[in-house]
Amino acid sequence: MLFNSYAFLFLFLPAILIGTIAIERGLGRRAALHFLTLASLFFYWRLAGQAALALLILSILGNLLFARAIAAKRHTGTLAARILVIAGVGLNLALLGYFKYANFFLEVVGQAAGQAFAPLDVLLPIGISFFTFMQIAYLVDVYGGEAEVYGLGDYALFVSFFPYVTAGPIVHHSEIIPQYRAAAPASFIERLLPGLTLFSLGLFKKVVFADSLGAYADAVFNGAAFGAVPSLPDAWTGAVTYTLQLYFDFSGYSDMAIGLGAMLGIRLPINFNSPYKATDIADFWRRWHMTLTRFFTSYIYMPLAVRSTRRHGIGAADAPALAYVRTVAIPVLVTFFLAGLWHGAGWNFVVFGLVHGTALCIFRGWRMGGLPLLPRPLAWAATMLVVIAGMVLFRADSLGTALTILRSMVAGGGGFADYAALAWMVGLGAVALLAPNTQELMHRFPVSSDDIFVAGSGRWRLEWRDNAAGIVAAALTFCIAVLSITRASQFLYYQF
Amino acid sequence: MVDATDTLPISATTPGVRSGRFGRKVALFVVIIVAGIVLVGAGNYALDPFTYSRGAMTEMAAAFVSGRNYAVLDPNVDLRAIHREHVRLMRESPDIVIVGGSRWQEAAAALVPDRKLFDAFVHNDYYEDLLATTELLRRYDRMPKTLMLSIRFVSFQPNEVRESSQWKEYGPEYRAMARTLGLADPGWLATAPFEKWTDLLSVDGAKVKLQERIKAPTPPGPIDGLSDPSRDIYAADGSLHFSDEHNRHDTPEFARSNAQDTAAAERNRRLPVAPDKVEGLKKLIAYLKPRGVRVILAQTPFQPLYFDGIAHYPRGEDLRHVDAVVHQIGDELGVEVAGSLDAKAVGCDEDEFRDFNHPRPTCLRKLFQSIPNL
Repeated sequence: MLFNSYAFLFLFLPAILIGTIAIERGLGRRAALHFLTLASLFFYWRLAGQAALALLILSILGNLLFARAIAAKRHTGTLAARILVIAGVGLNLALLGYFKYANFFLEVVGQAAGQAFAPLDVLLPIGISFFTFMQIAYLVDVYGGEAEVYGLGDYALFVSFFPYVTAGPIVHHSEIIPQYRAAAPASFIERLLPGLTLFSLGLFKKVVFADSLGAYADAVFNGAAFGAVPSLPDAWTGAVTYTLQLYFDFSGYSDMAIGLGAMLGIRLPINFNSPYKATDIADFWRRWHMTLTRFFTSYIYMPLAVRSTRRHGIGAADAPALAYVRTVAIPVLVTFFLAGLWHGAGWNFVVFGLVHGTALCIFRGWRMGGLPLLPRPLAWAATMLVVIAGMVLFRADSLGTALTILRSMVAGGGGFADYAALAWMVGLGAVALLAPNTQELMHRFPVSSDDIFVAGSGRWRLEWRDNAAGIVAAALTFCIAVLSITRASQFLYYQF
Repeated sequence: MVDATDTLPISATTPGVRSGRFGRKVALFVVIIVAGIVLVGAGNYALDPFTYSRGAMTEMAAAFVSGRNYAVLDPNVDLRAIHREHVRLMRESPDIVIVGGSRWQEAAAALVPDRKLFDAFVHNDYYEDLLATTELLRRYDRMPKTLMLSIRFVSFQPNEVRESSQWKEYGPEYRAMARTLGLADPGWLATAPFEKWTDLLSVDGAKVKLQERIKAPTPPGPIDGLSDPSRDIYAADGSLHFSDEHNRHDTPEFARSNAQDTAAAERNRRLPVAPDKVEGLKKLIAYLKPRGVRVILAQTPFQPLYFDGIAHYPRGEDLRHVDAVVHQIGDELGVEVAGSLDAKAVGCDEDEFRDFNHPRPTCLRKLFQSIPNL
């Protein structure tokens, strides 16, 4: 039951909205939240199956038990609490490692040992990377005294809430659970239209934009996977269409998730802020999959950088280059290595992470070295080159396929460009680069938990209003998107 | 955090008035969506009568029963629903019935002289179609002397990994035969053709059908001959006869390149087999044999370039497994196995295919000739 399936749109969603409003009015907000927990578990079961649901429930219960134990020991003995948090995080990582990386590990070990191991019959439970990270963050925060121990009801909904359980945004407990305790933001009928509009925009981005681009990207990447060497125009077509496809697919999914949350009275964080408008790689990661960046920054990069700084001082005794390596380059590369691996079990994902990490190290070094800034168009072009090359690594089924396409992008033969693909690239490239993003369009309505777009700022001429024109536009957007669904295609980030 | 009520442009002063205003807005939103959906749904329904309109399908079946053929703009019609009407209206039982997929599409009665052949092929066939067609023939007392049951590479595929759900049109017939055979009834929900009806919501579908209508020099309708410049023809015997336009497109060169491309794309894709479906087929055969029906398990060959292209890959391995399952059923239950997945074994060459898996009539004739006393 994907967001872009008829079963979701015409059965599940109306049932959830009607159920929530009825329970909220009749029995109060608390009961409505319990209803949402049950609905979320049902959604996950329909999408991921019985075994994955059991795993999700066990993960919720296990982490809550760990949180309670950590909180109990936090006051009495630091060592016990530390052991418990290490065990809790370790168990989460072990679970993720088994389901996501066991076969990759066997492949690597097999290659090193010159012996092929039979792959394990393991199915990746949808969303495991997302709900595992959310819970690791929670355990670490409980250990650090930055989070209280929540009740089972609140915690279960926090982890399993259906708008984000499968593909994010990776929410933080501190931005979600307090909302359960506050009154619902606005009445149901008032929050329905802005939420529905954002959901419609996301659906449109997924179904009309991303799925249309997917056909062109698939042709090039699948061909290369089967040994075909694309021409230079074809290689660029594949790389650029996939770059745009992933953006519209994943940001569309995020918009749908945020819109659903808004309708149900739970505001979720923004996940994308026009990433292809970025003019440096650090800026790109502040705009792309923002909640993942936030997680890696808070729980991996910062602890590494702080620890390194504490251990070695702030570079007083070191040469600036050594200080840079210790406090910037190593933490950045480790963080991006793990971020790459988080996306998938394959060398191409590792290289994807390292390419971005290296680019960020170069950028930070450039800044620290006081070198002159590139002109804005040149800086944008350089950033996009890294992003597009990274996307090739991200989409390819293997490192070999990625290298075939990257080689063709540099020194491929001439060939006939697909003009239809070109038209899509130009059109949607303009949308990604020049148009306001969905959050900016919706800036008058606080549908997300972030307030980076100040209501009424007047920055954008194009904005959604809940007047007749706005409602007709939103309804047509929803209508066109629904009528363009041929077969519900899976969201690209479900595989992570 | 900003509260929604701080920023929402609220002009009304009382909650009741405000709620009413928002209610009207939501109503407008819903009305537009419903109008759009009804418009596109009605358009698809009207433009695709041989999938949705029982009246149109009955008219086509009536033409078949009276010995006439039927020209269509697009051969992708709902053959299951049409066969349902056709068998219901049939005046006598055929001698031979072929139950299979589009690889049998050109199996015309002329290929088996002196026999009344009914080509009951459907698009995207699966195991369930074998049971359902048998039920259809049983229900209307049109069981033939010879029933050719054709297995394809995905016949026994588990439902959850299938690429097509068209078989669900035969849901009621499949469930009835499953019950007759003592197999588990999957229930209405698992076999209802929801996808067929949700396809009504496809704006792309409506656009394609509209373009077909605008471009077509002649509308669909009954026809006596078997050739037409632009329309494909379903013959009274169930076989398909392509338009001159289609025939110009399907050259041997096209078949060769399609075979090579498809082999490259599919060679690593696995073909899982659901054991319960294999057992179901065995029960069907065991049901048919005591009723005097000659059952032949028949397989059509692949274009040789495709067959060779996948031979040493997982797809080739899995195809050989499906083939072995068919032969094992034949041996176990004492039924004939005709044809082969290998064109060489049937005697067909590269030029006797439309693409990687659709044999031309000359190849199918050789297959029929290889069956004794057909």
